[in-house]
Amino acid sequence: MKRIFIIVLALMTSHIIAPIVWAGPSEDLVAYQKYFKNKFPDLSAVDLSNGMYNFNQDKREQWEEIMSFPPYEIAIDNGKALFTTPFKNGKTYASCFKNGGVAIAHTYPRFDKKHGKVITLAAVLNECRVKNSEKPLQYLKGKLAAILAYMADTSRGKPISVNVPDDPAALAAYKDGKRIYFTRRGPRAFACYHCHWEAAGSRIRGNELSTAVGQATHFPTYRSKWGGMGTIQRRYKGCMKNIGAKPLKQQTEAMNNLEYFHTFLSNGIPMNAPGTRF
Amino acid sequence: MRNKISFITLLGIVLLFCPAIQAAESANDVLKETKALYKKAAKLQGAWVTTGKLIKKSEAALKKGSKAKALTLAKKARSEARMSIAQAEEQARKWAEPAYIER
Repeated sequence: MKRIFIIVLALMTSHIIAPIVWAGPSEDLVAYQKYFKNKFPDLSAVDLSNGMYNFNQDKREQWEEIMSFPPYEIAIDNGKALFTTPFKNGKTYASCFKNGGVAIAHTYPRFDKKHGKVITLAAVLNECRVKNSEKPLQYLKGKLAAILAYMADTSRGKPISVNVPDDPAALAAYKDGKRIYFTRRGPRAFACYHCHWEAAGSRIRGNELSTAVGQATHFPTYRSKWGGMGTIQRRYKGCMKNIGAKPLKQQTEAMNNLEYFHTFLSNGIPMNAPGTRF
Repeated sequence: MRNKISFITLLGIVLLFCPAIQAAESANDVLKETKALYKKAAKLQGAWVTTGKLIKKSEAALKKGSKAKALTLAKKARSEARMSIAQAEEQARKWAEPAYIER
């Protein structure tokens, strides 16, 4: 009788405690992607990578017109030229990557066990330059964004595969990115999820809001507003400014952790970068 | 000696009641305090864009000699900086994923 009582008590306790205990990134992913699947049952995972153009037919048509001659093509060509041009020491970027840097962009950002932190593809490119006695490039736009555009293009169609290994530091980085994502900031007390989860598909002024899942698939992207290419962290900074929060600095631990969590949300969705946005 | 004491007393009274001098000192003090608060908010990843703008505007007003305006702006910035710190500290404890996520 005592045994039965203990078993029943254990079952009851596990039922109460289970929802409070954090299950882990893979369980998060299932729950988060399910939310968007339920909210937009007519949109496939691939559709989600088309962002705001899922929600406005007129803009969708304009975007498709633009895509017949994508403005990012120049960046891909420039990026390829930069990527393949040898440094002064004769080496190239390819020497710093597995597979010569081809078809790897969809696996970034990565957790670097050696340094115990998240590294972005942009940071690895600059590390590669420094390693080869070259000056680092400016983050967010310009030449670095062009190289990223070329590298992303070699991953086009491959599912985003950001890995969060079972490592305490990696899990901490993931959780930190998650914290930043769900933290209300700025005078309007907005968090990322306010616009891109519950308000996804609705409008803020003249713009339809894209879904959080799928966003990371099309970066770097050519934005008409920018008149050029920009990285995902450039977009984060713009978003943060929009909600009135002082943007986090690019390539800081916080910003990289945010990119880690945010890109992880799109795991399994084919890379569609570089992309074009208004 | 008596003249000296009278002059110092008079100077003290003038300084005490001169609003321009008073405002200039206060605006500087408030700005100094606000900048420290703004820095703290940024460290907590919770600073607001508008606070930075108010600080700049206050500094500009001070440079132009509009001491009262500078003080008003600095006080507004200080109030924002305090609110942003309170928000960041509260969010550090209370942030959560949306309740509508089904597990």
